[in-house]
Amino acid sequence: MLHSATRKRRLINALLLLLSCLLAIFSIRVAEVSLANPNELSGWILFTAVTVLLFYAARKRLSTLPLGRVAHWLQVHIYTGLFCLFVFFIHTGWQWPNGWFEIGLTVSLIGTIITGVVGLYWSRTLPTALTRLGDEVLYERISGFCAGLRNEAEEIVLAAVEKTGSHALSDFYTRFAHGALSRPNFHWRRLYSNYSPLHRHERKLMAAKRLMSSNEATAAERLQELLQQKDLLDAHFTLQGALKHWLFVHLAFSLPLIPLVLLHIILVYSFGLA
Amino acid sequence: MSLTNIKIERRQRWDKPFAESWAEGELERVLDLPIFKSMDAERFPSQLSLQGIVRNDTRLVHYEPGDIVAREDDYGSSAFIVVSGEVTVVLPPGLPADLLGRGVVSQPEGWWGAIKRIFNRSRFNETRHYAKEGWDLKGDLRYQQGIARVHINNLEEQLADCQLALLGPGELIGEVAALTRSPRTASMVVTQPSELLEIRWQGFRDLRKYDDGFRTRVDDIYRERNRVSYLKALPFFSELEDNQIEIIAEQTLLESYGDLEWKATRRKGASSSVPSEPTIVEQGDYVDGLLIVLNGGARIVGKHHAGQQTIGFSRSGDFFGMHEIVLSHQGQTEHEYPVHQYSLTAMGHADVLRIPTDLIESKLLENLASEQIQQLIKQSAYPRASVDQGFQEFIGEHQYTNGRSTMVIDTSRCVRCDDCVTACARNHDNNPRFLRHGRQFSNLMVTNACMHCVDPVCMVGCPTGAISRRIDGEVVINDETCIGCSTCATACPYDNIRMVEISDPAGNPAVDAKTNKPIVKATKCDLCVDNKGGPACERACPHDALSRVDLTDTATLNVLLRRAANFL
Repeated sequence: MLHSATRKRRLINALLLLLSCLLAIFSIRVAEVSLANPNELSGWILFTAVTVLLFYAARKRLSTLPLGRVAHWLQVHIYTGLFCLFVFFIHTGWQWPNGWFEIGLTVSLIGTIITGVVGLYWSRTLPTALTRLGDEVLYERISGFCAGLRNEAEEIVLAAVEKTGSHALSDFYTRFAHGALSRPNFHWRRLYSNYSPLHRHERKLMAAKRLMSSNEATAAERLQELLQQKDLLDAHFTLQGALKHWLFVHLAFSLPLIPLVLLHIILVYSFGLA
Repeated sequence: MSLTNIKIERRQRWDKPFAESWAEGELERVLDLPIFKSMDAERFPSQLSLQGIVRNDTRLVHYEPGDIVAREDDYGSSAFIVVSGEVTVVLPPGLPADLLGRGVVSQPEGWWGAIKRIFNRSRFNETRHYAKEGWDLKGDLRYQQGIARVHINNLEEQLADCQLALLGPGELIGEVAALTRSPRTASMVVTQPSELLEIRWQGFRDLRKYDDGFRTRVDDIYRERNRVSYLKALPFFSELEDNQIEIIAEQTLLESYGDLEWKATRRKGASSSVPSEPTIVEQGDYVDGLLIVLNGGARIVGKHHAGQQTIGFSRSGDFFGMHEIVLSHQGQTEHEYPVHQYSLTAMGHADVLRIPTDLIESKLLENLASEQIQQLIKQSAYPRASVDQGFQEFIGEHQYTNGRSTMVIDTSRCVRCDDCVTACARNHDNNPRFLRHGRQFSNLMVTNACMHCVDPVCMVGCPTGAISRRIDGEVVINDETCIGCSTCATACPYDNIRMVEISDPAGNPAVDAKTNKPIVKATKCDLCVDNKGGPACERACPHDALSRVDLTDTATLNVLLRRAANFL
């Protein structure tokens, strides 16, 4: 159940979006009736909306200016993005473009909106998943912690081999644990399920333990703890990594959008409407 | 491998005396002062002898004309006895802030200032323009006996328009700050070469404890100088006449509970929980007086099954026991006399005033109309345990009740983008003033950011008055007068003050001209007091995950917890 303030905010924003869409349709119809070019009007509405989308990035950088809360700007950004999608389809007449330039422009806009929606979904779901993990870890420190775990694991295994002369633990380490501990691992499946490779490793360690001496088994228990810690770090690495890096994909689609839109306007006025 | 105990000597209270050394004959001269001469040394226990207290908890300080002894609003931790010369007390409105070494309270910068800041930002961290230009102070800074002091030039000219009171040899000053660790009520300067005996609060409290004459004298001074005005400023007593207030003040007791050094215990990893806290009053006991929390913090505790449950928290200026007194006065209780509904315990340390119940009944309740009584019953009612009990205990355990503007992050909303950190850095010399890290309860994280405490222990002992509290409660550091002594950073029980090395705008590190050591400054969150929009961190959060809240505000907490629980 959503908090009443959130519900109220979403309802108001949705109504404003609906109103804006109706207003856009009405204006375009009026343009049609008055024998003006409706595509020209929808194009300029779309350009204005795309420009409004840019304000969010500008606001984030101008933190010294009293420009209100970024959270409010984000709401404007999200709903304007959805408005853009609606106006875009009206502008194109709900048809897929046929020229390379127009396809590029469309991919850029649709890609921006899709990555934006994915980012929005992740920003609403992944923080809760991160909180459920328990301990907070700063993303930048994950690599350092992983290196610490790997070094300790190697020391444990080497010490066990020296002490017992047996290779049961070292075999398990080189075949399974080394890969898991060598670096932070990004698992896509963690983003949409409770996936964890830990159970698989633990099952294999359990099987390997049957072949170990008591000294090796003690070392294996510590190795298991290290694998559990590494699994937690991997979960942070995946979830925080997704939250941090989706923005780069979003930017990869949105950055070409402005020059493409400007070029589109120039081309249209030079060869189309002129 | 076997382990063996390493025997070391346990640290003792007087391992580090207040005075670095005593010149020959100086200690004897001090002990000959009338104030100590009149004390009965026999009444002091052998481990806390009078001579020991004077030797270890006092020091003789020499002042030159223009030296500031203490500043108005500073949190002092010592009292002074004038040995020779004269101390001038500057009565309100007092001296201007910049003359005392503080930053001038300015209005937040406007649009133009904010735009200029964007373009003037240095590429380097913690740059200062005065690193090469020297001090931009109206007064000078000088060191004497290892103590840094702001010195006022042209003192006579500066004092010309002020109201003054002169105190000569034998007079006791600054006793309230030493007793209650409250802000100094007036600034004190020296107009002629003077010698003062400074007594740190530990020794001052012991002198008061073991010598009846000294205690009476201190209490009389305190009552005369402070208690009447303090009581008069409280809402319940504001309409009483002066003579009635004086009668109440006369019979009001000042009591201290707990340990002023609670922060040291806390640093060692110990947390504050109900059973370990000293009890001020016990649930079910007769209400012998109305309690007013003067300083520190207290916890309202109720018995629940076999344990104790936190009901709420009391801070400076809060009342306890009024509800029972009023209900009993109205005949609305089971017993004929008022009985405490809950216990009150000291969180770390608490100073309380106890006003006898019969005085409250005769001087206050008898003179109130029935509507006012009903209003009083409503106002004094205890909070219901409406906040998540675990969170309530978490706040109490880590003493976050001290904070007025605590940074809380809802980790189920926070996308770990660090936009809050970046915004803070952009507003503060490219160096954030907080860590996005801290203790966590469920999905609420209390970060390492200055909480702008009700009882800001960081302000105790700042030698230049660089750290001060603004009228709205924000605790700020005047960078220009900060000498980098780390006193505030060491004192902060929450580790929210950081010492940073500074450089000039070209990135050249600033070093001490004499020692060649880096110049360091104390830095902390200032709630972006210079910024018109308020705290940049809070405004920069795209998901409303970060809030600055008073953790004793039940309504706000409930909103936070409910919002967090309902967020997808």
